[in-house]
Amino acid sequence: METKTVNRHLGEGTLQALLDGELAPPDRAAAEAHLGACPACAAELREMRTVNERAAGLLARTDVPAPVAQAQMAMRARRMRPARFGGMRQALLRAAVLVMGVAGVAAAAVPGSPVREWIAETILPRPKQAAAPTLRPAPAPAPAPAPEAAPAGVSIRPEKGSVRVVLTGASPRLEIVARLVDGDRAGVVARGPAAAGARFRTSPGRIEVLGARDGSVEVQLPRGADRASVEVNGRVYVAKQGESLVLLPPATAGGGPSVRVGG
Amino acid sequence: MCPRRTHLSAAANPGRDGAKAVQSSPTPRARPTPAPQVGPGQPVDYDALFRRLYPSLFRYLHRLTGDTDAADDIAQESFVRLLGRELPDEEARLWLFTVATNLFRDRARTYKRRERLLAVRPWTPTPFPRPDEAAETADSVARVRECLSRLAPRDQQMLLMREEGFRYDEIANAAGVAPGSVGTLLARAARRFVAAWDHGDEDGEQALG
Repeated sequence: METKTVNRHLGEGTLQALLDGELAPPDRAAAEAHLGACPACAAELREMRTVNERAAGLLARTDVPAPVAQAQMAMRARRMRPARFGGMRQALLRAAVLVMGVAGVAAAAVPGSPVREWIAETILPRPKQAAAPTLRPAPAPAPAPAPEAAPAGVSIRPEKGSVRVVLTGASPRLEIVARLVDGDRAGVVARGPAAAGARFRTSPGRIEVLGARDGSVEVQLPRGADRASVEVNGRVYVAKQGESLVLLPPATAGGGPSVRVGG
Repeated sequence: MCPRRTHLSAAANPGRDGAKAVQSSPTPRARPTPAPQVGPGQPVDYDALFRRLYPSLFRYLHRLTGDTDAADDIAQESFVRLLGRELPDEEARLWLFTVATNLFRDRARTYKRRERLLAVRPWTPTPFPRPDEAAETADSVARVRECLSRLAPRDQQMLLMREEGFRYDEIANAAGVAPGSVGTLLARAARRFVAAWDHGDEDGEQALG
């Protein structure tokens, strides 16, 4: 068989397999014997090697630089929603805000400008109106430690048996409890200061909790879901395996928010 | 490109004239370092698995989607689906890539739209540009993606999986083709991809047909 192969030109599939180290040793030996004797096939192999190397090089051009890919993985935890407007966009945003601020101040400084008039009309007279009831500004309403904000939360139905609860920007002081519940809905309830600060976003099969601070968040996952998981700051902490919820390594490693699995 | 200097198998083929030696050494490709052996019954260390397989999966998905957020999202979702499956490491890797590719196809329309919307700035700016990349314009990156998108989805998948170091049998399994046809399909896909780049948009299309 080997002598025959020497006489027949190699197909591009064989040459490609040779380049990729995919030929079994006897086939490889036969192919190399043929290449040694056939300049046409040897030339095609060289050409294919060039094509393959160029293809690899072109693909690599679109890659995120390695340090960034590394950082992406290692720091997923710190990658909160607002960070999506990172880099250049954020710089542009800051520049825009700065320009508008400067323009506003400049406009207010010009006598007779509409901005100055507007300020005079809407802002300056205020103290006069407020003068009447100026008795004593009741003990500062500002730092009122909001008498335990009412619990806040959302619930959704799993999408194709799957549900993910994703907490981003969770404070390390946050307490997260995940439990399986009867019924077909997955839900999230934030209590304490977390309830006041947290925002919720839902999409099919996914609840996102943004910016939960202190306090606690209870995650309810339906017993009937095929797949259910809780991600906190970019890592999966809890997943449903079989009929129960399990804590995964990030939860036991410590350092982040406290996550446990409730009964 | 600089030609590889490795004249392999001169020793393996003593009969061959050294001057005629053909370079047939396999192109080295990245493949994640193999997992430490986990005994049967021992729980899978998902954290380690994630750290080992994420970079390759992310690169694959980023090449496929052209979008870091989409790549990250699909990668994460694929890992979530892997949980509890107790697959051996090698199988887990192939499984992950197959699931990720399916997720990408399911959502392809969403991502295409997203890509169009972001087309103004398709290249995510990064704080660490490599010096040799500084001159690389966003244009050329967009054009590479354009050339890749000219390939059939199956060919894109095969080419990109090969770049991640998958073996032919694994690629055949994931792409649903006969193992014997992988070499030919890969050779043609690579040729079309490079031809699309060389000949610009119109000619690239001709090269495809």
